[in-house]
Amino acid sequence: MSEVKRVLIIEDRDTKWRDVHRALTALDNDIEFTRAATVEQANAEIARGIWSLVILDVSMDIRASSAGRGAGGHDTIGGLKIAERMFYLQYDAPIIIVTAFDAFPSTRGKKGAVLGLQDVIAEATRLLGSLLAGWVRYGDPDWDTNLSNLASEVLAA
Amino acid sequence: MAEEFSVALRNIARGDLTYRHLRHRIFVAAANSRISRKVELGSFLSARLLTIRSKDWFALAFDDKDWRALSALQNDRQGHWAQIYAPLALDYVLTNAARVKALYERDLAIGELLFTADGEAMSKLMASFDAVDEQSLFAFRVQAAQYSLDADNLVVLLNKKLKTDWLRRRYLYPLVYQATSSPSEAGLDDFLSFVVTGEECEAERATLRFLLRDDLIGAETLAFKCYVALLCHPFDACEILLNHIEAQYCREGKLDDELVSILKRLHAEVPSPRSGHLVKLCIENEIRFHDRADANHLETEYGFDGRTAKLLAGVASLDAAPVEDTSMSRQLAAICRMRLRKYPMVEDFDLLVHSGRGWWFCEGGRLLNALMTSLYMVPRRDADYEVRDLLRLVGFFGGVSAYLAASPSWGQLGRPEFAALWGAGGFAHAEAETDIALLPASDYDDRLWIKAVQWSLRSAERRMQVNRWLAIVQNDIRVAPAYLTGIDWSWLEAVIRASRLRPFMGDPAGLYALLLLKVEDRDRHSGALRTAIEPIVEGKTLDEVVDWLIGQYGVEAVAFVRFLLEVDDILWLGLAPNRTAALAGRIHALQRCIMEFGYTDILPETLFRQEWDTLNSALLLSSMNAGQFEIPWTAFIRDAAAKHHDLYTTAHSLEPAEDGPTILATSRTTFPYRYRNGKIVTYIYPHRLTPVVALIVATVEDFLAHPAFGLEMILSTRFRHDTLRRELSAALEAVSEMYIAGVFADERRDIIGAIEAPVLTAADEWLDRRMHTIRPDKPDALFDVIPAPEEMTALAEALPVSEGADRVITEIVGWIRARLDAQLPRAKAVFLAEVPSALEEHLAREKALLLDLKGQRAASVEKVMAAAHSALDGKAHELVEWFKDAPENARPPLTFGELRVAADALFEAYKERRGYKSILHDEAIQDREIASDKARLFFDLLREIFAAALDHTAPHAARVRVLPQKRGDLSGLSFSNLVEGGKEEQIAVAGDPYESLDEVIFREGNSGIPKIAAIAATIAERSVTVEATSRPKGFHLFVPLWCDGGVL
Repeated sequence: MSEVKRVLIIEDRDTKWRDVHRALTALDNDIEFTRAATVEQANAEIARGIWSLVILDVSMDIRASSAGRGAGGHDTIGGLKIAERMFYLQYDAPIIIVTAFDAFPSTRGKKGAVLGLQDVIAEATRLLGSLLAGWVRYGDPDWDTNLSNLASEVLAA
Repeated sequence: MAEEFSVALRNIARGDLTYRHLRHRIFVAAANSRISRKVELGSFLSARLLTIRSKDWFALAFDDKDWRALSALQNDRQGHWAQIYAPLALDYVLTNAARVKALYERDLAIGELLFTADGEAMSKLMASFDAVDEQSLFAFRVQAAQYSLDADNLVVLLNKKLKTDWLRRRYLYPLVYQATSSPSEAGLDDFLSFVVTGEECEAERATLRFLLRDDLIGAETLAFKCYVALLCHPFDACEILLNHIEAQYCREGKLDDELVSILKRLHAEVPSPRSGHLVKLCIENEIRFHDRADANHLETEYGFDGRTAKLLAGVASLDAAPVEDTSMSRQLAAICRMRLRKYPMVEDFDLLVHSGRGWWFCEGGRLLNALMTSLYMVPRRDADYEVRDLLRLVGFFGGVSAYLAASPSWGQLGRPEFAALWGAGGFAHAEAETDIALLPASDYDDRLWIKAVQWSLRSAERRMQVNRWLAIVQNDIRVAPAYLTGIDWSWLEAVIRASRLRPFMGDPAGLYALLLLKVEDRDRHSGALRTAIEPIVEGKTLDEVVDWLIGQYGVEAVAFVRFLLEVDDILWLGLAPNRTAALAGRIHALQRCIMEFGYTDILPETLFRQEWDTLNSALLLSSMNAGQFEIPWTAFIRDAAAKHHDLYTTAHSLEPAEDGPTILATSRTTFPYRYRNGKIVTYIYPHRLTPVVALIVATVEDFLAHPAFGLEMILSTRFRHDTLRRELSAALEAVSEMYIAGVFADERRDIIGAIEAPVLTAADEWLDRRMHTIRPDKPDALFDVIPAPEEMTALAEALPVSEGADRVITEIVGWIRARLDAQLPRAKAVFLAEVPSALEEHLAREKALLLDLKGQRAASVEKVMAAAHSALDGKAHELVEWFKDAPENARPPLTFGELRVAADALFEAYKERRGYKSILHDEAIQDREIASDKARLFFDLLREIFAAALDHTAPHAARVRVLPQKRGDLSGLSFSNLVEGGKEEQIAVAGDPYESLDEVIFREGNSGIPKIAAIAATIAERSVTVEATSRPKGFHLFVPLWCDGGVL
């Protein structure tokens, strides 16, 4: 009997979560999916240390708030910071970045900066090394196939 | 094959032409030969080919063929080309030895004048340059350094000296800019990006960079350097060779045989103190340990007068500190004071950094910069550079001492590569002597404290004692944002790479080290401190965290609050339930620090006021349905004027006088610039406008990328990153929850669930196409604040450069603002024309699909779709308000209802736990407008009252009822909440208005009802009395806020 694979999908947008989930569902029956819709939930889930794969959005809500979506703060590079925190705390799990954006204004540094998608990937690679299994631009042609292929490789390894 | 090239070279050299004329033929001949060993020309042909003929010699006369040649030489990593060009460059120096020696004499003279600041002698010296020598880089640099505060004269002077068209077109402005704005070496590329025109090829840019700083380590190949050297003055060529030799030794601890040979010949035929030092170091491996710096060596070898040499040696010694006296030059007094104080005076630091960056190319400048490095006055750099400064001081002071050993990157000299330098036990002996000579850091009340600390840290680093290292840092290094810690952060980064944050998690000393790292370099490991403090924060409120910080770190807790507890960090750490509460929480935490410690260097009053204004503005903006393009222009102008002061100064100083140099007024330059958003614009404008154009470009870039209200940030965070989607999603969610006659609740939810994704996809597609700035991959974008070429020229010409930085930046920002204002109506029109119809189109498609599938009752589909269409259309029309161009000072007033919502958000965490709720008993007051200048006061008032109600109300019914009320001639609000077991009591508390921000923080008894009374008085602009009535089951508070017909 094959071992159950656990996939954590860190994604704040419902539609994208559904699309990502759909793209991965076809992979294998023995996958358990868990969603973290905020940075706060993601940090808590990651600490469980049980993940075969983490699907990581970049632009993320920080926490849920009863005052409405977005009232709990939004971090345009929240996903990158989640990756940074995983590095610091040595939560080693393969990661695939799935983002709908190609530019991420950030307040990093004294001047602030607009990070391009390649900057974000480069920073994630610096932090995660080989744990960064790849990245997918959500909405590009065949994004779901690409994601599925990447995830398949990771889960088969 | 080498022989073949030698023959070709000799043939080429036989005519009457010099190297300058023949260089391209030589390059082609070499390119067509395979060279396996170095090529020598022979003294006769060398003299013919390489001797400078003063009548027709021009320095740096580059042409397009040179860039092709230099491009090839840039890739000469194997040293193939170096075998041709290094011997040629050496021959060039030796053939013109007289000219080289003449400039070395001046170099030494300048070195001393730099510290004695004899302006008259300096002027005489500059006037004494030979006509050929005046074309040296050395002479250009002397002029630039001497006139660095007088750019007008500098431009005029350099225009006379620069003989070639290339120098005037390409080199003049970078050189002037470098001299007047003193960029750091690290900032050289940044500043070059503004001053190079963009027309150059890569090799030309590299050449320009090299001519500005030919001593950067590892920047270019030896062949590239020698090729450029052959077009410079022979003295410059000699210095280029020595710089290369020095760099290689510092990096590798040894020299190639070829460089050994070059160094020997240079020292034999054009000796200088520098070449002598390098021979002793690199070839003779001679290094001695002295108790203290040898003033005599500086005097005899480098020509300093006895008194100056003694003072400078005192700076570089542990036990012979210099004595400051009034007869010293400013530079000498500044460097002495720097050694005598724990932290430098700002004026001294500025003066010496400016001097060091201006005179970096001569012995005096090298000495000054190396001393600054040894005192940990400059940011830590790559070890190669620090080793170079250290070894330069060995050369100046005749040997190593304990003072020098406690300098940055000393440990590098203990590497095996440098073993030959020390001989058996030499390095260990120097270390042992230093251990004895240096006292604990706490024993020093001068700059030696930092050397003692760094020596201790190095010992811990060498033994990988992380905990000891952290303890030393916490014990001996104070948080001082304006000063450097001197810490080698690369070591800490290696620790993090190896052990991650384990040594730091929840550890006070570890947190402290990460705080220092964050203060000194906010980019590097920016999330480390926030992660490492998680174990401390867990289970605490923000107030309790601040308590812990104050208890643990005393006054340095202020730095944690300022640098760690920013709004997003507060949310990340779970210390506030939402953004409004995080904003208010940060203000409160800063206020607590001020109440505890007063204003400090870490949190001065000016900074607190800025934070107060910024946070208040964000707090209020986040609570209202304001135009998303509302931008605090005044704050932006202030930030931009401060940030670009240097650029402005350059623009101002380079503005030509009526009779200014003709070439500046007439020649035009082409400047293809790539903005950060990817758009490329080619500007063509008169050369004299270069700095003004740079200023405009920098300001536009700022507006594009400003982290708080830059255009890219607005388009990204207020639109693309979900705001529109959320609004549409909320509208659909409302439909799924609303009652629709004849439709079951499940049907509503299923139908909305089916259409949400396509609708939001339609919104995404529109956002991705339209809500960007225009650039090649976003041609349909709606926004563009980048000046077109003709706009740039017109704007640059029109700027009143002589009227000050604020005025000029105001004009530029005014242009940007007008541009943006003009685009908003179109964006609004496009939004209205495209978004509702796109949504409708998608809805129609989904409706048809649902009807085809027959999964739902057709009537239900029709009804829900109609409701969805109506909701989305209404929302889209509501959202056009986002595009309104609200003038900064004409923001519509907030309503009381909006402020109540903002205040309620602070207590979100209590909604479920304690049933917290505020209830308005008169809906009319919901829409009452509050003047902008009173909004923050109302927010504070509600916060205080709601918080007090939570403290005293019944445990599970924390409701506050709000009712308008009138008593006598005063109107106000009455607040009521339930209590259990209250006693009958009535009190009246009088309050006077706050007169200042300080009073808000420091007024005595400023809490509870007295604070509420004071806030109410400030709102009412007169003294008022708050009445509190306590009953067994309820508490009532009447707060007078306005006279009839008054403020509310």
